[in-house]
Amino acid sequence: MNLSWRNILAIAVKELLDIRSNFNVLLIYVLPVFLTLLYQIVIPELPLGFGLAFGLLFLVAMVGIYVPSMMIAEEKEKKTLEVLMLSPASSGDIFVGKGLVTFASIFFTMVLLVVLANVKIASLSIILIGTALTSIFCIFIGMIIGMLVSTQLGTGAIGTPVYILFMLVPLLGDLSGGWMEIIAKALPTYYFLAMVNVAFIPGAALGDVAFHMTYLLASVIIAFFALLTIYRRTGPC
Amino acid sequence: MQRPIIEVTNLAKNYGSRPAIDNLSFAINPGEIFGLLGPNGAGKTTTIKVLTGQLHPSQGRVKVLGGDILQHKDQILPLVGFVPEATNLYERLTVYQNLQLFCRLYRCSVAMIDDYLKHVGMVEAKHVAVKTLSKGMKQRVLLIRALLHKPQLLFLDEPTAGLDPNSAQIIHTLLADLNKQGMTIVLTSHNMEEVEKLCQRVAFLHKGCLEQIGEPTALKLKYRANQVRVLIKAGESVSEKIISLNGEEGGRQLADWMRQDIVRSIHSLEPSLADVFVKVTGGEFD
Repeated sequence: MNLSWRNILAIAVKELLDIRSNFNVLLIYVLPVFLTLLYQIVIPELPLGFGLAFGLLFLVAMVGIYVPSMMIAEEKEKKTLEVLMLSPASSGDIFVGKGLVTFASIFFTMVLLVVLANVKIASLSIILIGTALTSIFCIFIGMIIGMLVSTQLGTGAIGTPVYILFMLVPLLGDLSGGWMEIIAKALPTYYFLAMVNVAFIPGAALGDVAFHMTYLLASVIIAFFALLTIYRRTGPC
Repeated sequence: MQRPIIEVTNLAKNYGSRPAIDNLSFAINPGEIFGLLGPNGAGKTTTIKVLTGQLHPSQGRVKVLGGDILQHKDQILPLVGFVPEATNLYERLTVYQNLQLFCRLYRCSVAMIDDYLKHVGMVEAKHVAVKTLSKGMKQRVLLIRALLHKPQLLFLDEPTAGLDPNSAQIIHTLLADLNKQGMTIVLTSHNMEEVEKLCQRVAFLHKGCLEQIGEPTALKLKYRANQVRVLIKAGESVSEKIISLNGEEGGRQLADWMRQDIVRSIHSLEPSLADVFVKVTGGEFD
């Protein structure tokens, strides 16, 4: 699969322009910021950084999965992907362009969240690496959903259980224990949440989350191969 | 003799067990406007999709611009323009942003956008969101998008379906101009008037099979009824008579009326392409 940076950039610019005027997608970016601030202001007695950790989890899982799946499903539904596939842009260019925009927008929103949350973070690098790896994983999952559905409505039908799985189960796993905890510990987002919580502990370093990072990296690799396998079976359209 | 720009040999495409097109063989010459005609479900869109490499044929071979479309897709597609039946533009983006994306992908100058917009009378709509445009305007944007990279071969799937006469006329004029400049155009349509006006050759598709191919005039002559409609004066009123020109009887009758000076007008009963289609296929043309 040949990649052209000029094509990737052209696709990415198009996606940025499109997101700017897409209210449904913009709302998904606003929600984690809103929820983080809400937790901090309404329930200040929550553990240090809870609001930020929740906001970051919401951001990577929701934006990471929802945005690329919507982008691909909309292109399929409106048949714009058809004409892109006839252009010099390869399917790799199209997917990377969409993925890059999602990744960059998650990072931009993450910076905004960290600034607005105003929580003392002992190790920013843990948050950066955790966010990067989990975002890539979620973007791959979002692309898989986008390829499997043919309409934007289908994205919601298939996507919603997936968001819930990756977002709520890690949050509730430790609290409820039992089978919920077992499922939670299998999910990469559980380790992301754990990494974020470690990042608030004074003296925290990357070595403290070596297992978490390895688990996330392995999840990224597995998701990538799953994406490739499904692409080969279904194609982008 | 020039090599054909498109060569289709024994082409078939099945969707599951249902054949969409069956055993098509034809060639299109460089510089032609070629029409694929047929009612809905005749296999026109499937044929275009196979010719542009969007669908893999179940059987047969397709050569476009001298190469196998499936093996040399990367070399052939940049020389091809495609206007799909669906108005697949990015609705939230402006006309300019839509076209700019394809200029970037095809590495062509964005300055051309203004020239084309001027040509189709859409300069004022340059920075307008596509979702606010009429169908006719969207169709013009689709056509510009397909022309930005100056393709040698242009495919249009139902280019004027559902358009007002003014928008259709603008598109017809542009297509005729492009053809004069040497561009080969392949269009599908079930608008017979459009096809008669634009196409140098046509192929009739019916239930996935190629029923007839040729120049519109030649096809009409081949399937003509060889009759004339004569309006003759009968007292104060005018009556209509259909005269067969086969044999001597019809000619004698007509000469007789002429001598009596009662002939008001004579009309050729040349069949339309739609009539020819119905005759050839035995089916109806919707």
